[in-house]
Amino acid sequence: MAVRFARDKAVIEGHCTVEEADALASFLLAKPGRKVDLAACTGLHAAVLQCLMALAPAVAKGPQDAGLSRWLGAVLALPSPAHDAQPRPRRRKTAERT
Amino acid sequence: MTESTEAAQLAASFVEEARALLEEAGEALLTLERDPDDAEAINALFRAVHSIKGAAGLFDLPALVHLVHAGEDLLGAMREGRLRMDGGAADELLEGLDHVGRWIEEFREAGTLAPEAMAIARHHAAAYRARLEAPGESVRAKPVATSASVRHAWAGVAAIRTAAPTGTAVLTIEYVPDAACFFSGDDPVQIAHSVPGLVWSEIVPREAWPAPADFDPYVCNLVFRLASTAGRAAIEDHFRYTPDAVTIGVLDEPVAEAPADALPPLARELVAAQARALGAAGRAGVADVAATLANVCRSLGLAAPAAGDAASLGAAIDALLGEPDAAREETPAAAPAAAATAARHEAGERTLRVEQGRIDALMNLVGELVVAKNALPFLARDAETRFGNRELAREIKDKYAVIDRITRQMQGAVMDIRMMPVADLFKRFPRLVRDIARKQDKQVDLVLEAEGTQADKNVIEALAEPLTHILRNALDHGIEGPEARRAAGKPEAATLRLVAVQEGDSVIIEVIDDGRGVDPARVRAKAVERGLIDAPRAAELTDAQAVQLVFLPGFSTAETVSDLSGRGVGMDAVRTVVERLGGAVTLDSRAGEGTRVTLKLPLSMAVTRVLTVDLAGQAYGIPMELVVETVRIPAQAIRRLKNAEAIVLRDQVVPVVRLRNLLGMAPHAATLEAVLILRIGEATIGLVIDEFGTGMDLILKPFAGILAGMSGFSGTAVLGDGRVLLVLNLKEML
Repeated sequence: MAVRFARDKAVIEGHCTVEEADALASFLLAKPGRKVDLAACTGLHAAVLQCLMALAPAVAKGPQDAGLSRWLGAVLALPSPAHDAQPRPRRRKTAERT
Repeated sequence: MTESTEAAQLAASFVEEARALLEEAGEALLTLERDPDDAEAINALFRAVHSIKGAAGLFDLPALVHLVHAGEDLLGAMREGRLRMDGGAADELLEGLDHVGRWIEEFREAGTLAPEAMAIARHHAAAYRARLEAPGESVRAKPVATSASVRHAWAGVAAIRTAAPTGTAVLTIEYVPDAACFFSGDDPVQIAHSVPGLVWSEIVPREAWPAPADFDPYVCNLVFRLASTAGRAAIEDHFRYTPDAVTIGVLDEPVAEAPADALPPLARELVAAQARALGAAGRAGVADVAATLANVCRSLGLAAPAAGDAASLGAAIDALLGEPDAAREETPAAAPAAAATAARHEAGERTLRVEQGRIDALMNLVGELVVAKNALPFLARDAETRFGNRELAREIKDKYAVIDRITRQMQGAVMDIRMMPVADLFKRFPRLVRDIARKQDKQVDLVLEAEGTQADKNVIEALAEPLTHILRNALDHGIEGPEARRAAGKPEAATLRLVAVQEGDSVIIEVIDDGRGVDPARVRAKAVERGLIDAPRAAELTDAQAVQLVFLPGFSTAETVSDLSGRGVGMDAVRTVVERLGGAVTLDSRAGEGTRVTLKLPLSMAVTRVLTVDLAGQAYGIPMELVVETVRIPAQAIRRLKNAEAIVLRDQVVPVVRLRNLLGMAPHAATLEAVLILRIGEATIGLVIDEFGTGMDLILKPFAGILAGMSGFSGTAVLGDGRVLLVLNLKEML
């Protein structure tokens, strides 16, 4: 299981597969204000990505994985020192480079 | 070497698996056509098609995957109830399955598909998509042709230019995955991010996100905007499984400048992958890593790192990445592949696949054992008569009984291995019946009743063709069109039953239709016209006997198929095959009510039970299944009728034949004649012989070599005392 559900936070670890999307969506929908923790996440299936985009939960921790962080940062509002959370997620953003 | 053997094994198991899945899919499709609401069938069909696609993904079979993918989309819609299965859709899907079946065989033989396969796949996929979109539910934006003139509106983003290396042509790609793509196992994120030469990407929703309560995570609502420096061909190849989900455009104006210190994402991935490769356990050399790094650097216009040992390469990689620890976790791409392998392992059955040759060898050995065992009674007799030791003789007989029992069990066990359910044979017929019935606008319900009936593999395999003939005949000639049936007061849909039951040592297969039956008058006329029988004799035959004339060789030939409305296409071929297997075929018909063709076959061809007969001191074998009884009759009781002889047995006239005459031997006079009453087909015949022998089980060996063409005998067997027994083929002789 790549997703652990805490009280108000879904912790995604490793590669989050398509099977997880439904559980994640229901978890996020059940109570507004629930967050996701992507720190240990290394990859997302498109269905999971959709959940994060559509339901726009606050991201407690961005992914440490550099590759994932790069493209995900362009899609979601990731809390990272470089960019603070933006009001709207999935704003078009230039690809970040190192 | 091992790698290629492994690949070959993988391919072989894929072919086998795909065949089974195709069969499953075909079956489910037919069930579904009859009952479009059968949820189990649609699930089975979807699963089978999905598994084929999954398995095919391991090989380079884009045409196959493309076609199966489109079919899967269509089935997905049916599963969700958006579409209904009908005859037309079933036709198209079956046709698709046929192509897939052919491609699988092609792949098995050649390892690759003919180039025209893709065109066929596209054609069918387009047909499926057309169905999918027909109900007015436009699932996704219609893709524009991927011509060079496509300009994506979003392509003006300056970031693309800055991301791409200086002076390179950049293609923009808009990838709109199908809304149902998750169900076919695609991960668009993964697909988009593995585009060759990817320099820039952006993900936006296709439509504005719905209210959270209405959000369905499994409807793909994403659009990927990508920019790549790879060639158009490479990109098209990357999206070859979903060619109509992408449009490729050009970003004119080559990029102005690119910062030297940055690696584009793809290059970064590549370099990181090299770092992982370098760290992998058990690496022999580093030349491949060095070469890849040099290529990456060259294409980016950077100085290539000096090729050296692992440590210096590692340092070079770190320098390129600008960080010491590149992600060492499993790449996302590896995960689905691993899952697929795990699934394949799980699917393994608890069966052992053995080459048929090995079982045959075992069978032969058991046969030898039977023969060797049969020598013991002779030995016992010798012990008693020649050496006068009755006690030893009894001991030998006791031991013989034990060995006999074990041999029988062993024989049974080996034969069990060769047994195959008759249902396996029947599986292929629903499709055949459906296709013919549709072609002729007839409605036919095929009912298969095989339960657990089993028979020897050779018998099953040899029966496929005769049964096809019989079914074809039933559909072509026996079953009427719906109007004719209504006029005759029958239900419009005809019932065609295919029944298999075991009866003693035989398996009986019946093909029963409720069509118009065989017209005896027409059969008589036809037989006379063809010169198979003369008119007076034809007139003498009862109706039941007359319909058997269809089994005569030459009764029907290809050109008469259309003008003969009775039965008869190739029925003599059917009879030949069935009799070669040691079986019999009969036809029973009632005008207006239907026809029943009965095939009776031995369960196993391996062991033949024969009755030996003595003729001029020589033993001959006669298949036991033909023998009805043995009688002794005074010589004068054999009456002569013109050139034929007959006896009266229980008030029934039975024609008799002398075996000595048949074999061209000198006549033999006896006061009490030994007569075997045989039943051959529907006829009862007496066979006059010198003396009866005993019944025994034999492994019959057909003639080989220069004796192969010998008629009148079905084979030879070695007796326990070493003598060779010739087994007569009486069906041929009489």
